[in-house]
Amino acid sequence: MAKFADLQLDSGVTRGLQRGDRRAQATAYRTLAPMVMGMAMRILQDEGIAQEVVQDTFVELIEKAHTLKDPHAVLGWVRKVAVNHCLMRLRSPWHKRRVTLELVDDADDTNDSTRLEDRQDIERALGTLPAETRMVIWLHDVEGYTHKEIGTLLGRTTSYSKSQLARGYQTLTLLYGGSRDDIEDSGIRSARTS
Amino acid sequence: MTSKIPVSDLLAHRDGEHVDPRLSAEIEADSESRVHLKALREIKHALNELPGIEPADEVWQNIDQRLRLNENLERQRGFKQRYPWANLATAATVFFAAVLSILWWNPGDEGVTGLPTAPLSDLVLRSQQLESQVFYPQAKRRVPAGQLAWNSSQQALLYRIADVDSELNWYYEGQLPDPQERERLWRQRVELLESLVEVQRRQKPSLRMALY
Repeated sequence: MAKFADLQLDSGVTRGLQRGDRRAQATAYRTLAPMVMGMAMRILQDEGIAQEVVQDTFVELIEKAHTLKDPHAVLGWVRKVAVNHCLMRLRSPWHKRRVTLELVDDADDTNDSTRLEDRQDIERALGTLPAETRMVIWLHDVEGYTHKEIGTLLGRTTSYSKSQLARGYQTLTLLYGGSRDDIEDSGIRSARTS
Repeated sequence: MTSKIPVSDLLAHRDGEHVDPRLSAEIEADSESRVHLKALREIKHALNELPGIEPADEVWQNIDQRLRLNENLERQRGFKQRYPWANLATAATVFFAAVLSILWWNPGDEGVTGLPTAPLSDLVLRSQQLESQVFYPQAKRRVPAGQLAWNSSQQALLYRIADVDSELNWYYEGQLPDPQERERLWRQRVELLESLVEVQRRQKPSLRMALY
């Protein structure tokens, strides 16, 4: 599962982070980095840029951890920072030029070929969507953001978030579960505007 | 897969958002809508089942490097605030180090190392020229050092230049006695600065300020 809600950070680790303890920083990174990377990869569809998001998020976390008043808020804070870094990159002119889709091969779960195929299908289908639509879908359906929160984050209205979700799902229902040829042959890929 | 109910309404129903009870009844009564709704639920489930992704090993190393660099910068900033005249002293030291390195260049080394004599002074000069090319436009606009609009490629180059500079410092402190190494470092510095100028040249000024 690649969502923050499934995570837990030990209170000792959080206190260590606040003290600037090196071991706690490494533990927090090991625990949280795959979630940040997973989210950034699915939204940005670029491994290199997703890794930049991970770097920026953890540099910010480590440097500002001592200012955190509520240790329980660390996860929410990391998620917020990571989302902001994703958004910043989506709006960057450099990102807008990028069009290629790179899927990351995950070594685990390879024994279960059906699950792997399912995952690849949904990853590929997600990758065909415009970047902002992907972000809306991920934040709403996986991270549990409300449409109002997404609208505020994107500087748009609640209705915009709802319409992006609906548009995205129209494409996903068409593509998900279809064969790879369906995805590749579909004109939607060429219409992608990441 | 089509149904007469709009996807937005089906999604609202799926997510338990407030929808007209008549609409909910209509969805439940219509077989096509039920199939569509099931597909929407499956997609949401599939998205939530996607696993986390381990970043490459070097990401943590890069984070560590950036943290150390930021700590050093913070220390330097604190030092400069306490001793404002230090900027001038640093500039003078760098200038004298460059001049001395040129003056002390021993042509006899050529026979040992096989390197030509001219390039070192050229490299130092070239390095100075490139440096002013990179930083002068920023200084002209009086942009405070902490607010320079570097993008990630430029930042990466600056970090590498900082690494070369610290190696050069070791050299001038007598910890790197090999002249060949000295020339290699100056050459590397020039190459990195050239890349930085190239990156800067490709960016329009408005674009650079808009980044991050």
